[in-house]
Amino acid sequence: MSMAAVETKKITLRTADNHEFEVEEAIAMEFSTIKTFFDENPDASEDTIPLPNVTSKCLSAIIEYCKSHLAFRARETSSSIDEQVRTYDEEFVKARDNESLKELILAANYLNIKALLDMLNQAVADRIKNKSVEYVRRFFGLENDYTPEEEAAIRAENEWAFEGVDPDDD
Amino acid sequence: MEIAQSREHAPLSHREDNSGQEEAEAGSPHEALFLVLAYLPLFELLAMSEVCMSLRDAVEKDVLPWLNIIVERPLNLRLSDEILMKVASKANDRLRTLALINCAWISDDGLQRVIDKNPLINELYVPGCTGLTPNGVIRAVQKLSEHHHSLKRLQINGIYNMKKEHLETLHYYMLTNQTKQQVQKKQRPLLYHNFRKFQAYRWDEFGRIIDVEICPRCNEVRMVFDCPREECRRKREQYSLIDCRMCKFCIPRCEECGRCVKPEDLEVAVCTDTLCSDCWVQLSKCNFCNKPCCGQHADLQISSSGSTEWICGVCHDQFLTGSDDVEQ
Repeated sequence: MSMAAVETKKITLRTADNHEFEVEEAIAMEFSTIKTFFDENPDASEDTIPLPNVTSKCLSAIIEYCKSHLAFRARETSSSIDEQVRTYDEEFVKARDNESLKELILAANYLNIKALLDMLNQAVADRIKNKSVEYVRRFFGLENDYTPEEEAAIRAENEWAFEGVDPDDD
Repeated sequence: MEIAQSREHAPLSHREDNSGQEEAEAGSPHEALFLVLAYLPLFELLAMSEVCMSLRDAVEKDVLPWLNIIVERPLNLRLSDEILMKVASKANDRLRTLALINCAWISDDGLQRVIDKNPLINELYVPGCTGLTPNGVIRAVQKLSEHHHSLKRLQINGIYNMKKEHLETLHYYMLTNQTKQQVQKKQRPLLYHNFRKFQAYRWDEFGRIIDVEICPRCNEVRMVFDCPREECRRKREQYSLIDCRMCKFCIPRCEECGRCVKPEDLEVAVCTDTLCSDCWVQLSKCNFCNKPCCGQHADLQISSSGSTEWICGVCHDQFLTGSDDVEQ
């Protein structure tokens, strides 16, 4: 990707709540959606890119993530870098509640940032690891819309998987 | 991994229905959960399908969650050949990752039936599947290396009776020049403590093709780890000499930091895991027997709420629950 002159090129992004973010080209290129767009429209680089599906809260978190990971990648691979990356990812996820994680997942999906999407989805998957159906329902605030008959039928089908499962710790 | 395509998403184009909107009704699954499905091991996937109707639809009708089938605790001992066949059939012959972690009831034939129908498997992980034999594994790997050469990674640690000849045959099928090149680029140090914490099906993060090798010391087929110890790294870089590059049975490793542990340095935790003396010092200890607990088995610590002090299960049973000589 050729850089214009000496200064790093900036790309402007506008979020759903009308905030504008100026990011370095390198970071914008982490968003495969945007990268593809520019590959197909090379003259559009001066324009502001609208992101109607992404809130400013999400975008700023995502930009932070991409910045940090770009920095990690620029350094030489070693096991200590791996540890740092892992710690960073853990911290990134730890403080966020399920709602923000879900929003981030949708945003990362929309922007097509594979590494972030993998990491976030894995984090949510880990949160429901080994938990019961009831726990998952409560955890995500979902309602059981099965009739008792339907529910019994499904339970019978999956009986092999759930018989004798230990109750949740909480 | 196809992500955006699975549920008719198209980046930068707008769907007529509810893309980007907040949840339509309270209690209906957020779109993000549909995306998470593809990352769930089988147990959690089945749980999700029982939560509500729309999730069940997603699980039943979408092929994406079934392209990577991961069976581990608590399903590993419940998975029979028949159930495996049923589950694998949901992948429409396009199965990519098959991870059977400690699935002791799977037989060679049961595995082969799945392999025969799914020739495009990239990753075959069957560690601890003690119902398999080395020849059964070889047969599976051979099939997957035939036409498409799809198989990129393999885990077979824990399968009984693996010998040098078997491993050499597997190398023959799997280690083409192309795969070797691909792997060299991304190889990360394989550290014991990281491996123990990792989920077994994230094997691709270590950048290796087969998990086992021949231990230079005992000549058995085992997992051999790299050492994070400074001096070991230096010896390896300077002299290409790696003292501690042996299997876990020939050289103990610390559960917390992965470093090789000399006999005089060796400590044992409550969970019977090995610790080096440095890590031993840093961990909190049982109030009675002064043994520490490694991070992974913190559930063995018994403490009263709010207190950071704890007692290990052994001491608890011995001293605190109605044994004959203890007054209640």
